[in-house]
Amino acid sequence: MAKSKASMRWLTLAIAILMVMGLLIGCSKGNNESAGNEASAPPASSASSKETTAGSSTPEQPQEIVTIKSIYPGDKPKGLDPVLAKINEKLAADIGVKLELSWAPWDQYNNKIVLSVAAGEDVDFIWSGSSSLSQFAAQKIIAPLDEAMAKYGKPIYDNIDGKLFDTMKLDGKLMGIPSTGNSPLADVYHSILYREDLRLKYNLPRPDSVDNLEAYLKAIKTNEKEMDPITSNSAAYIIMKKFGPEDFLGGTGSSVGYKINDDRSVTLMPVQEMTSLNEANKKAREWFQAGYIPKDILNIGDVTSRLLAGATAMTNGAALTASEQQGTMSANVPGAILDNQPFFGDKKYIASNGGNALFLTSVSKHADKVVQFWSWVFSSQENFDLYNYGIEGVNYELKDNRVAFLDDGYTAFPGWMFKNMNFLRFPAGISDEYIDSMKKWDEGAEISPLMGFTFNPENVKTELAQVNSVWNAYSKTLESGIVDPQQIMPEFIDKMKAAGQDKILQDAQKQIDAFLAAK
Amino acid sequence: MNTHKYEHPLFPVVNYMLLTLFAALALIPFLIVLSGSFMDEKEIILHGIRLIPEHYTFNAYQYIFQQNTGLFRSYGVTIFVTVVGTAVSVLVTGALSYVISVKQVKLRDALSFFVYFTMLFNGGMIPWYILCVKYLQMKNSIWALILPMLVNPFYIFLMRSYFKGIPEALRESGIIDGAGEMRVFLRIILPISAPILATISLFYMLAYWNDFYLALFFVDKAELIPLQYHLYRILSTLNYIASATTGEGSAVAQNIILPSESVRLATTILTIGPIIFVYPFIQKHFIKGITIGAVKG
Amino acid sequence: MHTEVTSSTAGPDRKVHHRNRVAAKGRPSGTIADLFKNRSLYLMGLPGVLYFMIFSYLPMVGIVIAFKDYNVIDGIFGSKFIGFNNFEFLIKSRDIYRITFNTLFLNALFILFGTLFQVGIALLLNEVYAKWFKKIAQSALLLPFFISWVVVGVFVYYIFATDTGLMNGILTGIGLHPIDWYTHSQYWPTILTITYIWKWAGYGSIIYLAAIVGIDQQMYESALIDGCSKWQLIRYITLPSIMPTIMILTLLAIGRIFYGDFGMIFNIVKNNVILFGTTDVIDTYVYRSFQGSGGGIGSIGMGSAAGALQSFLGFITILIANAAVRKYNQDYALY
Repeated sequence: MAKSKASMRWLTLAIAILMVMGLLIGCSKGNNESAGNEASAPPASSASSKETTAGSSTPEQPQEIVTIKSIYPGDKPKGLDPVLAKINEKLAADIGVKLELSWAPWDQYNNKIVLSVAAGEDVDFIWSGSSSLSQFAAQKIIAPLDEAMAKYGKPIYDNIDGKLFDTMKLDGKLMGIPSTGNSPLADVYHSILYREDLRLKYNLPRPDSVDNLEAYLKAIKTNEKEMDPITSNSAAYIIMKKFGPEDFLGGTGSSVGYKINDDRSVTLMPVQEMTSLNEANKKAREWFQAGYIPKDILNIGDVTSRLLAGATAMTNGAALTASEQQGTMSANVPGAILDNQPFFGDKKYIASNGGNALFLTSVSKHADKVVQFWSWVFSSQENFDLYNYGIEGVNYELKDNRVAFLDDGYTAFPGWMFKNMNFLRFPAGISDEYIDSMKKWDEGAEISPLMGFTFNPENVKTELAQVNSVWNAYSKTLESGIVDPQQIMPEFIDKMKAAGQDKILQDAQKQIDAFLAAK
Repeated sequence: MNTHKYEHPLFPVVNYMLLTLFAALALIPFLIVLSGSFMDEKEIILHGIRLIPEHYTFNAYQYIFQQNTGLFRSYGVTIFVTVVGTAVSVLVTGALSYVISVKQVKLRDALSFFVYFTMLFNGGMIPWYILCVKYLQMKNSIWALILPMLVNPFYIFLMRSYFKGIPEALRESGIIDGAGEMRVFLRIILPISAPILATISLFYMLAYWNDFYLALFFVDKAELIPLQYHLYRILSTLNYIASATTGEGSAVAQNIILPSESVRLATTILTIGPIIFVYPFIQKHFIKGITIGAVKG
Repeated sequence: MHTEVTSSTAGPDRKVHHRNRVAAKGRPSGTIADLFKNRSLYLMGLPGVLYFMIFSYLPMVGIVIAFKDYNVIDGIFGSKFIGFNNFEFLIKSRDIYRITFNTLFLNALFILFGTLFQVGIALLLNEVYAKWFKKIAQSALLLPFFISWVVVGVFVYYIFATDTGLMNGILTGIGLHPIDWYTHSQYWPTILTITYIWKWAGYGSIIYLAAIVGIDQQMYESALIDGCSKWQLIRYITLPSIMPTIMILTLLAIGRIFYGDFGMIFNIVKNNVILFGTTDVIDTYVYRSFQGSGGGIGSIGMGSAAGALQSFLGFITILIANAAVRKYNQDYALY
């Protein structure tokens, strides 16, 4: 009896010890990570800390080199370590900063940010789509930048239009920077990415109007049997400005549309009353029935790959996407040339701020250094090149003012963070005409009277979630022409109304009136 | 079990045919995945995955192995986590399940409810994350990959069911003979529980092997990244870059189409591979019958 | 963080060998006394209990987030309490009845047919006497478990695509009219159920097979001696013996009946609204509510509220179900 009691005690003691040990081990490793702000090596790049002078001097002089941390979305680019080391070398010398990065998969990125900040982890700045501004602010994840920008933000202001910063203000405080603001902005998503070489092959005019676009699609349908003329689940969205001046009011869950009148006043309407969208939907339906849009468009996977493989001639594509994809396109289909074509309305307005933003987290203790880092990227072509393309001669080289990547070894930070026309370099195979057309994209565009307006969702959170759900359910169906819009519109309108669309519209009207009056 | 003398002669034929049909239905998609993982991405996009592709290429596998040199290391991490995790899990789960299966334990229904309740209600990711990172300090610890999923209440109920079926007499005779509860458990109960032990071990093994979630949240250090998370990261990037139709995600400068479909298939194969080798060893426990009567003697 | 498995296992219900447990010989009853009397057992179970306390019950305080306007600075306890506001977007939605019905209906189909096939396959496998065939068949049947829903979604597309799909190829091949699968919602509960069965049959059958294998052979032998046919053996020995397993697994599934299988449905149906009538479940609806253009849509509290609602409804359901089962046969009940 005593023996078995002993063996039983021994076993449970063993299990208990095992668990406590586990906690202790976890504890000690955790302490090393979280406590060692300055002293710890960057994750997964302990080799680089031996290379940089910055790394080795860190523990002794915490006042000199400040480490700022960020979580980037995606996967760490292959071959990043030497580049990051060089960046840190220069950062240490220029502004006394060391950049430490960790990575989170795209689909978990927002999640991870919230969790990290909630648990009080060390994150100094984050990236996100600029439309995340109000959500982040509501969750108190981000902090105001006014002070730090006043001190160190000059290079940023020099390279991005000051008016765009208004779009990142809440309650008068600057809550983020529109980091890609200096890039084509007007109606930038009402644009296609298409095969220019095919246009030349069949002697077609540039698809810059709806009629010309139709001619192009018809030619492809007739002559290229293996290709789908256009693969897009939002064909109507692309061309809608050609049918009317109405566009979507951001932040309203796509439930409210607006148009800018000639006197620069703003009229709101429920999204189902947008002439532009309705007419465009009808056109998309025609195209679907003509066979220009594939039947299973809603369940086809990734459309850009299809374009790059030569399975289709056209898809959605914002400005600059042609240059970004040209390399892959040429490799797969020799001789293929990509181009972008926007579909502006009668008047061009700039309401977008570039779509990307960088934010300072509310738990950061290094606001100044963060802004200094951002400014550093825009301080010189040299810095910009180092950050975006790598080490010259090692990762890339410049030929005829075009960037040629030297090996698959290094894949650059994608352009979504600091894309800027003042510094941007284009890859080989891109014509000067294209670059010109990108630079001229915003020519003749007026700043929208709504620039700077951010819809405050406080009063209509519930309705927003509901309309968003309805919109996400119906939008692709309407915009891809897969169902006759006449059939499905009544249902859609009914649901939108039931979801509280009117309440949102009234709230938006109030907010806009206040916003415009304050100007 | 020798009941064959009494069968209708057609029965085994129908049986084999049905099973072959089901097995084929299960196997064929897998073979398609296998062949797809060796297909060129362009061909997949243009013609879809096929059972017998026109050209073979190792592109997808190359891409995976090139992405991060840590792939072999991650196999090591995963193996450690799986072996240790499974062992501790089966032990802890088995012990608790057994306790709530014994009729003599008055609290067994209460404990069962205690366990079951956790399957229903859950506070969400935020408090769980804060607990593990802030209070338990589990960030970047190998135990972060094991402890949070140590016990699955589902398996507790599976084992409890099985233990309930073991006659009380067995346990009682052990106690009467002077053995302690632990000894009875280890020496008498477990040896005749091979089927359920094998089942639960297999399930835990699969769970640990397949998990990327814990690494996603708790591991930054490259040395601790398990296999699935490694593969998941590769896929996640590909998914996003490939699906981005707006300016918010631009392709990186590579001269091949990002092999997203074929990589996805290749990761499936890389995941299954090792398990298929282990499985046959466990299978025999589902195949042998046991006779409790013999053990009793 | 817990995997969802659909099948069950059990040891045989050995009613034949049950004996009434003789009351403890003269020792006092009551909880404290029981704790003391069975202390070795309770100690054995302690690690498991500790696990649940730490990793399940401690974080459970987070459920209050469903009732708060949560932000990361004020945290779980400091954020403002707003009652049931977070639940409104779901409860007041026009679609709430449809998505709830779909969730319950689809889950019921899955439980019913899933169990049927898993038990069936286990029974069939058990009757095979060629070991090599058994092993190979089992291995093959387990493979679908490993194929992620993303890949399965692609397969379903290959089969049901309008122009290039396998099904339509077969239909036209035998002279029938091809069907536009992706634009007609009535087919999809069936398609989803078949897919579900395909994914889990192998995995689930393992559990039932383990249970069957654990049945004492002597019972069969004595029955055979009495001249029973194969069907009688299955009906009177095998099935009753694994009934506790079947019941437990069914009950476990019922507790989760308000949770839709997001991974499966999202990857197969994707954004095809035409199919939503029969396939949209609570989880996909909630996901859509927060997806996309950002701008303040979706708060942590609202997501939490949806989950809390699903948990609560499941809880009520299982209370009723378990109580009912318990009346019928105590051994079949969960607790």
